[in-house]
Amino acid sequence: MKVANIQRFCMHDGPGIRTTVFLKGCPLNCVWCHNPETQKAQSEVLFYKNRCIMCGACSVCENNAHLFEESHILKHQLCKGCGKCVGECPVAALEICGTEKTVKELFDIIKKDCAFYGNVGGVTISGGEPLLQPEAVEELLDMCKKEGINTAIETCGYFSQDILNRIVPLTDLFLWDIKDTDPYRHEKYTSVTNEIILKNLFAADKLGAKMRLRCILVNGVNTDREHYKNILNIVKELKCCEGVEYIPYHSFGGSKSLALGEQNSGSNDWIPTAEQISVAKSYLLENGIKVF
Amino acid sequence: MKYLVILCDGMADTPVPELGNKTPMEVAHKPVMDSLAAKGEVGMCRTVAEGLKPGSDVANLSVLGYDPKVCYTGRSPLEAASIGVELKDTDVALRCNLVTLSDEDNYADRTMVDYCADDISTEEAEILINAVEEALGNDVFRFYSGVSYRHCLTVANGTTDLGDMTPPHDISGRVVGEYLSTAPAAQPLLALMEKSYYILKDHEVNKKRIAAGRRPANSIWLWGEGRRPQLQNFEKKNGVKGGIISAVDLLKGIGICAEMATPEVEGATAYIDTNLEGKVDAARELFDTGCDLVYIHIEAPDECGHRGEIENKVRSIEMIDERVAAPMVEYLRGTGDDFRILVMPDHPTPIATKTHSSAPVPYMIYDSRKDIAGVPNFSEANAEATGIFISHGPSVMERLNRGVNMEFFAVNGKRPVRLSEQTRRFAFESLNHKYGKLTEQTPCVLMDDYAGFTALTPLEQYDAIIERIASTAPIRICENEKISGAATLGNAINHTVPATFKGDSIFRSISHLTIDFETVLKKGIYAIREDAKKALEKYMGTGKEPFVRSCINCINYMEIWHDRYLQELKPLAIYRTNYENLKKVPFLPAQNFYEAVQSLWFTFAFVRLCGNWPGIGRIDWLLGDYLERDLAAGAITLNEAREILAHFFIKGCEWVRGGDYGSGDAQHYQNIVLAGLDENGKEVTNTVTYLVLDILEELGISDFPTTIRINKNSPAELLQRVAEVIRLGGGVIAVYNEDLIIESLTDYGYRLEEARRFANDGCWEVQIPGKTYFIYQPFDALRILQHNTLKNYDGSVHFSNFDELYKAFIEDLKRKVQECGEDNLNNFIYTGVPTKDWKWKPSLPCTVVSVFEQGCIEKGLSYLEGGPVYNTVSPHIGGLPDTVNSLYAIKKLVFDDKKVTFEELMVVLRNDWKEYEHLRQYALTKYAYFGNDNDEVDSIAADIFSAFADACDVLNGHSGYMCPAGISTFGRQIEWAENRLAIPCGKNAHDILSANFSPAPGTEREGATAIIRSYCKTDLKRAVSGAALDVKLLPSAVNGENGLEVIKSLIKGFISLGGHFMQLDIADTAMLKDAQKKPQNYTTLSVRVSGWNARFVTLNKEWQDMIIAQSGSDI
Repeated sequence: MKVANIQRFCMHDGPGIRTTVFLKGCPLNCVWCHNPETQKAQSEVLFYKNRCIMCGACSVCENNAHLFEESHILKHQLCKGCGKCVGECPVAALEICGTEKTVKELFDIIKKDCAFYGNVGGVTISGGEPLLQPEAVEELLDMCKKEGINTAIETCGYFSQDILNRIVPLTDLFLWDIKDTDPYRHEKYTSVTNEIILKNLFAADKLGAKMRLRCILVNGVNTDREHYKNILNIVKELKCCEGVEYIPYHSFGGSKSLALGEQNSGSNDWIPTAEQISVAKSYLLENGIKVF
Repeated sequence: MKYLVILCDGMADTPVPELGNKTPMEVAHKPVMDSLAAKGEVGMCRTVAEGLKPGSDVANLSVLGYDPKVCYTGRSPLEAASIGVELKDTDVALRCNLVTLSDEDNYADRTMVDYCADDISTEEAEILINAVEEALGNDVFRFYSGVSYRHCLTVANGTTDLGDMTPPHDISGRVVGEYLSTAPAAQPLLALMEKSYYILKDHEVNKKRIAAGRRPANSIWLWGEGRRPQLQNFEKKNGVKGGIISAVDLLKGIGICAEMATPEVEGATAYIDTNLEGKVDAARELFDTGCDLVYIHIEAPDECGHRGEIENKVRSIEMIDERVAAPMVEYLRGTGDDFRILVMPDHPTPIATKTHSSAPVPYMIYDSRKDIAGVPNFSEANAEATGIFISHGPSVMERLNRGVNMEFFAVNGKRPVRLSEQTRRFAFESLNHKYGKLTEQTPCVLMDDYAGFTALTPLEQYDAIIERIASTAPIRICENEKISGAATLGNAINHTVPATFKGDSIFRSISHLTIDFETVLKKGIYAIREDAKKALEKYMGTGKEPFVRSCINCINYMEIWHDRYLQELKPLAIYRTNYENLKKVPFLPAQNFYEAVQSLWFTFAFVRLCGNWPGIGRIDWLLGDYLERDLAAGAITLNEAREILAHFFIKGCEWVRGGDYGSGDAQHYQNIVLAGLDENGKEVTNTVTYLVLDILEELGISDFPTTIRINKNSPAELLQRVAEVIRLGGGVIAVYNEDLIIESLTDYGYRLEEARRFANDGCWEVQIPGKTYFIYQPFDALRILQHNTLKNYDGSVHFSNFDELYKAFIEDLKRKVQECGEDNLNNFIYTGVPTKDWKWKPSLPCTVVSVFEQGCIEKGLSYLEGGPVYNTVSPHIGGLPDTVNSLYAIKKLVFDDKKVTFEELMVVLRNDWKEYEHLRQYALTKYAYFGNDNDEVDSIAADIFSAFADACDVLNGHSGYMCPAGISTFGRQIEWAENRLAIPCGKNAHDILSANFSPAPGTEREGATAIIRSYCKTDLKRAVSGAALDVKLLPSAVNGENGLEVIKSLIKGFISLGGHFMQLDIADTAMLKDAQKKPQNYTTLSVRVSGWNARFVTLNKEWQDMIIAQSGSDI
């Protein structure tokens, strides 16, 4: 499996204490992406210039991706993501995102915190889009279920529907991203329309998938009442949805974009105000929807 | 912040028929005061305590924050001070009024026509008083002229035993005869009064007055006797510079005695014609020249009350509003500073009675920073209707000074309110150091004058000291306290018996034990004395006799102290229950919950008074049955029980400041242990457990440090409540894994029933309460590695593989443990052959704790001489994670990854990484050290500890002590830093490293679950004494519904993985940094690291920085 990151002691990716596995690769290309390092399927090296001490240890690169002129420049287009330089860098200015791990390796890491999962905590497979690697995910979920570990998947909902039959029975909770309810805006900001996402959502619901909707709030993009109303309508139509979690946009993804040699497509203007968040929440609360 | 007091003397009143049954305050047009009252705190305040006369002196002292019951020595000494009379301690001062009497022949038949002689002018009065002085003054009696009709007489070597010297304003229009004191000592004074009539009646001054149609000042009137008052410096007491502006001598006198500024104001009189503008100018001047608090006293409403002048009284209030309140508010707003204003009378002077009354008065505090809902019209009735009542007058000053909101600090979230306003106030004042400060004022008793003290044996000296402490230590009864007894000697915080001889303290005191409260509660202390008497018979004539006698003596002394409290409480009606309870406990068995709490507290307080720091132990186990019985019988309600128990906690957290400790104030090691199994294996958790949690949750009290015994079957409700309390922060509850600890103790040889009784010593070191002697021997393992094994990196040793290095270190470690064992032998008369029957050497006397420690009386041996049932000295390994990280870093850098040779690394470390920054960074960032769930490094920790525990086991039987192993640093990582060299894992020399068995700051990257797992991989069952883990979480990790789940899950994981003791705390680095900058906003913020806790703001910078560094761990 191509893994971007594994984070233990997570308390914001589902109930209880969880280990979150971020898989690499995503079919969407959201301009506000919080985890841009997980978008591409292949391994990438992130370079945090502010940590660099110009020691030159990274010159081990076989493709000469590291240039030292006035400052240290990583030529991302030359980088093959082998990660050799990362091992040499003494100050963690270079990080690799995207390591190959077997399902068993992942499972062993997840298992470590079994003592803390209790009845509610467990594993959350996130990304990127985990269901871009459906076979491996299915195998991992299966192993976890057999071990009695609670399973959750965070998905953008954009995948081929035929895998749902296999995934739903192995998943205790879906954290289902609804980036926007307006199809045009959805396409404009994420590069795909929301048609497939909603189709999958209702299909999963029909299969009895317990889920929470995760809705990003981006100031000036989807902070309108119409959107909240649409969310409400979706939730009302779902049988197995336990509620909604709003994710206010933050601009921390920007530094990672820069470290990837990409432009920072984020904007501080997108950060919703406390009032906007409260309006969005109370609209749902007033209509009897649980908000996490 | 500026503070203004506008004291409107006598303003409060009762409804006046002529005003349509309204009071002058209600009728007066006072827009400024009313607008402040609309946005401020309004309530009633009892300025004149029960049993005191309602004089302006008593009442104003109260408002200024001085308790008249303690400070008041009479009115006239204060006035004397104001006119520059310096009283000797042997002098008595009296007020000397110039009055107008009617002219009957017989003095006793005359009528008090005017107590102020028609407001005689100061100039006229001076002439008359001088005439009196000339005629009647001598070495004994001296007259001093003051202001208007108010003057002073001093009596050398006088007495205050003068019977009733009636104030003249109380007998206006009455025949004086029956108001003349009949006391023998008063007769010379009455003679002076009588003689003065003949000196004054035809004096030129009076002739002119009569001609001008004014009443003559034809007699002096003596009253208000007293000695020099002892008022604490106002600034020292309140932390703000204060000034008083008043036309009245009394007030100036108070100001002078309290070392406040007391500017003269021209034209300031005590009547309606006073120069108010002058007072306002003077007040501004005081503020402008650095005063923080100005007290403007205006006498006019009182005078109008005395005279029964209704309209003038109304008018005087309006004048104060218009000409004082208005310009002062304008001035204060103009300064741009925050300010608080207190407006109140000192006492009522009702028109109806024309004299002072001791009824409570309305007060109002306005805070410019915060509008709150007040009342529309500042009046007696409206103030009463708010229900806010300050029953202890002197606390109004603190209220002004500290603000009106009692908030108990929570790092995260809000604390609930369940306790009564009164109890919360008590807690607030206590947590804000009120009683701690009091305690600091009386450090100890002095033995200098004890005849033949140096000739006594140490034990005799000890007994003499305890007797003196019991007989003379200040008695303290806090306002409305529900249980009584207080450790009032400040030196106890220095871990000494609070007594000195020629300036030196005499005996160290005892800590690290939990005493046997069970016997006290169930059998009473008389029963212990009976046991001691039996023991005396047994040991009579042996070397043990003096100790057993000392036990009986100390119980007798405790009875003296107890009796002093009874005497003090007996006349005070509101402490009736305290008195009734104390009549029985702690000498007789407690019969109900209330008595049990009092018994526990009183015993604890006495042991603490004598300098010792005992833990409390399992309070729910001790008190639970009493409460359940009372509740079942309907003898008490849950709320009542919570209030009583709250007073126990509040009284114990007075935050006494000791010597120059960086580690803050209040360290009495008074630990409490909650829940868990009883000796029969039944869960203890009961109503008391939950009440304690309620109290901790509401008040955030962290001293008593509380630890909860959790096992795999602990009630879900208990875990939920514990999580709720932990979430608020402040480190008030830590967790024991009792499944592991009970097994650990039984493995070590304790009987199962005994093991189940475990509590701790005051930090977290496990012991069987009431029967264990305990100390620990801390040492720095990192120092052993650096200094002994690696020879301070001097290059003289070489290791060619990791095993060699590891083994060499273990040998050095074992030697250290052996040294600990050899130290123990110093306490024994050792013949060179190990024995079962060890002979203890004589040690310091410590009878007060020995009395409450099982085994001592029976064996005739003190706590320090083998008396207790169990005697333990526990070697504690410190710096273990740093040692492990060092070894691991060498393993990786030198032997596995070959980044550097062993010799090179020694050079690098010797030079503290200088010029090897890259290597240092590499070492720091590339490897996962202890706390990251890395088996390779964690197994080194497990191996070292197991070798250490083996070495400790070897010591058993080699002295009279058992030597269980423990892992700790408490706060020693700070003092050890000085001697520590660079550390191979990328840390510099003198860095502050790991606390207890927790990862070093900044090396933990995987979060709390990884930390716990790393820690639990060591076989902690063998840490019989204990091994503490500190885990800090950010508020964001525990917020919301899921936050409680997170805390519970961490605890459950900790239990199931085999942890020992965990201090789980919520910390916010940003908040702590803010507290460092603005300590005044965080006065009750407490922090706790395993085994240690303090108010954050009382730590020195080094300690604060350490706490901050350790708070940044988990995200």
